[in-house]
Amino acid sequence: MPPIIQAERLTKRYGIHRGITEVDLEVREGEVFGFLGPNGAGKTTTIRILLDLIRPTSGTARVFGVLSSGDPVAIHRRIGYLPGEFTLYDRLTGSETIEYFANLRGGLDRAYSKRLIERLDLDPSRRFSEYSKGNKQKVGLICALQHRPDLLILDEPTAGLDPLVQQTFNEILFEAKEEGRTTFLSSHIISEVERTCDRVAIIRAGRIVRLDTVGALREMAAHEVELRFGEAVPMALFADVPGVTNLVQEGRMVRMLVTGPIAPVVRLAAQRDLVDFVSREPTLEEVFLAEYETSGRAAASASPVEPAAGL
Amino acid sequence: MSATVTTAPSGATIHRPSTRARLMGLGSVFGKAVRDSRGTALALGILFAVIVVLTTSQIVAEFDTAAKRALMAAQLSALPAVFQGMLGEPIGIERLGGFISWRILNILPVMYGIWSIVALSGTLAGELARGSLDVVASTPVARRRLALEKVGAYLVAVAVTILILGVWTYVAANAFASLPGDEVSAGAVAGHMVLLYLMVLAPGAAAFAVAPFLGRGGAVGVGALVLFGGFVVSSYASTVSVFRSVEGASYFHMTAAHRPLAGAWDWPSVGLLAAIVGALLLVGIEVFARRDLLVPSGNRLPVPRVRLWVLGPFSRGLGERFPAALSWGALLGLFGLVIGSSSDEFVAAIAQIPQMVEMVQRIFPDADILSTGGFLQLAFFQEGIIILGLAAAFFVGGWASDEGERRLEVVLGTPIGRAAWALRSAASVQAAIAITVAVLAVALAAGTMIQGDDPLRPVIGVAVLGLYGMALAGIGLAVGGLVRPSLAGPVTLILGLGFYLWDLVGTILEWPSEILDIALNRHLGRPMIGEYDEAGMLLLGAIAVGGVILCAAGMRRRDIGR
Repeated sequence: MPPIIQAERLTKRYGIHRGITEVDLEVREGEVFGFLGPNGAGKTTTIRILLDLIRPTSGTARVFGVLSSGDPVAIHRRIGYLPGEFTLYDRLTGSETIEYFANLRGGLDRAYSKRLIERLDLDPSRRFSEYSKGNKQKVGLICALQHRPDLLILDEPTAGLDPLVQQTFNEILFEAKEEGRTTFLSSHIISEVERTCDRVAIIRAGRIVRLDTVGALREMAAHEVELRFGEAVPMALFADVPGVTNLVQEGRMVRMLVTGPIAPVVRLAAQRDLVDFVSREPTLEEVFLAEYETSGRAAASASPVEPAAGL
Repeated sequence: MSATVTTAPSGATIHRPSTRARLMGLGSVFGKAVRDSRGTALALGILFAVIVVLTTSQIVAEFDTAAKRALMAAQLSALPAVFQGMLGEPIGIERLGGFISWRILNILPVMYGIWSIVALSGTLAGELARGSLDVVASTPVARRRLALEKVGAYLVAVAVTILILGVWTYVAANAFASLPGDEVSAGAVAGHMVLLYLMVLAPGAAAFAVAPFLGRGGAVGVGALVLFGGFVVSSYASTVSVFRSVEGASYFHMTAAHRPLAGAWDWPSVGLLAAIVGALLLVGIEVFARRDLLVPSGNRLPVPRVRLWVLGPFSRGLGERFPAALSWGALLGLFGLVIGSSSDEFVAAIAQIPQMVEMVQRIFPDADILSTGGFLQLAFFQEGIIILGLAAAFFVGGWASDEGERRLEVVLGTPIGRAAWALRSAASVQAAIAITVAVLAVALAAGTMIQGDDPLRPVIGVAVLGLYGMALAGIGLAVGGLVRPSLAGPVTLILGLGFYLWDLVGTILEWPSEILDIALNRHLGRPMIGEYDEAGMLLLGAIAVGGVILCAAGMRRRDIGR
């Protein structure tokens, strides 16, 4: 089955400023794909290329197998898009705004848009300019969802939403997934991505640095292991085990971080008077932060060092 | 609003937009754009239709015999171009159609041209800057079609305005016709309206073509240059030799011989203008379709990034408006420099006609009109009044956007009181106008010094213009502070243009001076020739300062973010 989104060596430069560099991505049909990265990493640039709002400096982007700059209208017909930052028409009411964007897609499914309005708890009679940030976001979400698109492209979709509405939004995403529709969700809220996404790409400084399932990313990260023994055990015992780092000994307790398979540590500990064993799986947030720390250090070490004064 | 109901493959019932909604509602990009501009289109059409009807009735009453008409036509036609100034060459003004064309319709492309620039520069670039265009462009409406529908809607809006004007011009000319030859044919009105239609669109089309490259601000500047540059060059080409070499580029000059209401036809020039307007619009559409949807940057004047601009509300406000203040000053200053350095030519031309000198001295007794200052009073001051009004509206609009775009809430989250912010930020608006005027004064002084004349009076004259701009801004700021920010810019703009029109129409209709004097621009004296209206200047100063104080008082009381 061809991917819904396929980016190959996608690069965008804004004059001397970096946009994205050689981004490779594949989003499969029916999955919820998370696109994680801090502010300015290149998430919105990638999305805007997929929608042909901007054109790549090099590389290609295909959505539904169609080149994004080749036939954008064919792509737009099947997508629902919520930008990260947007403002709509101050003088239109919420319902007028929703109707306008439905009309631009051929017509309004009143029953479905009414259901979305009720579920997201929006008062559609007020003017857009009178809405709070969260309510503006709800209008944007309804505009993106109301035509049941095959692909949802959502840039920071829950920004400004209260927890109850966020929960409703997650339910809507799961329903879309059950119906076989695809979601491309850009966010820097890691818990949101962890909760809703099947696979995640992490982008840093315009480059994809990790792309895998949420589970695999967790696996790749270090487990926090705590071993409690009946007697004091030298921590040097574990120092040579592959993947073990950050060893700490506190009396009869040994703490460590284990990257990769945990079985060698368990086998070694079982040969001693092991009283208790605790292993905590890392959250995606920890994976994300670890990835950024690693990449940051790598970038720093790769940077040329300025000579000291006087040399 | 929705008419057709169909069933989608999913089983959902889809309500398709009705034809009416597609044409003038929320059924399409075109429909929404027509819906958004219909109020302005109707208001502008009715406003000038009323002026045409009132002026026509007055002229017929005042010049009720062929002899009176012929005398009036002879006197007006004898005036040198500088006195005819903004109204252009009088063609066939002894007949009603010709007079309406000369006195009212010749100025209309300037007034409506401002609307055209504002609308066409912002229809895509403005929406892009606001952030709504991304959502629209992600729907299945191709970019080329999106731009085409937006432009098409504006073409319809202008057509409605011109249609209203045309119908009432036809009705007024034929209803009040009292002498042979006064009646005008529907064909003549239509021919004239086609020209007006294209002239209204021309500066907006130029702004539209460059907006994808320069953004809205730069596009407005280009549109204003095309409009005012073309108008001034055409108006004063016979007096200022520099203008003669470039008058061919002015669309006012290009189409000056096409005045069907006066019995003069020149369709080839109209065809050429139509081709230019069409080409500019197509360039704008095509460029929009091909370029990245990004807000252009780097088109402002390079202003040093100094800490001075972030010291507080006054310096921030001034820093925000400083590049524009320099631009406005440079634009108007260039015009002043050319006019100022051409005064000798004018004086020499007038001096060769003793009857003309006699007539000028009758109009301006005790004034040295045959001087640089006199020439500037005639050829520069009136245009200065309009452009300073526009600049004031621009700066006040920028000030109001602090609240409209919610930056003010962040500022007021710091330990600064509302009144203190209002006083300082409003003062920055007045300071921006002062900078505009200072740049203009330098250019004008240079122009007069080239002639070996004393620059003092022209500089004082420019200062009076600045005071007028500040008074207009004061009113706008007061309205913004007392009522709501969204009204501040429009009120300033309406007053700037309204006072000018009030004076123009009131003088034609011979309104009593108490009524005419409502227009603030009647209290400026003739400072370029040393005639000062001290009371008027005090009044302007009081309005400028009082407006800032009222603004602060209003901001203390009302809700923020309205």
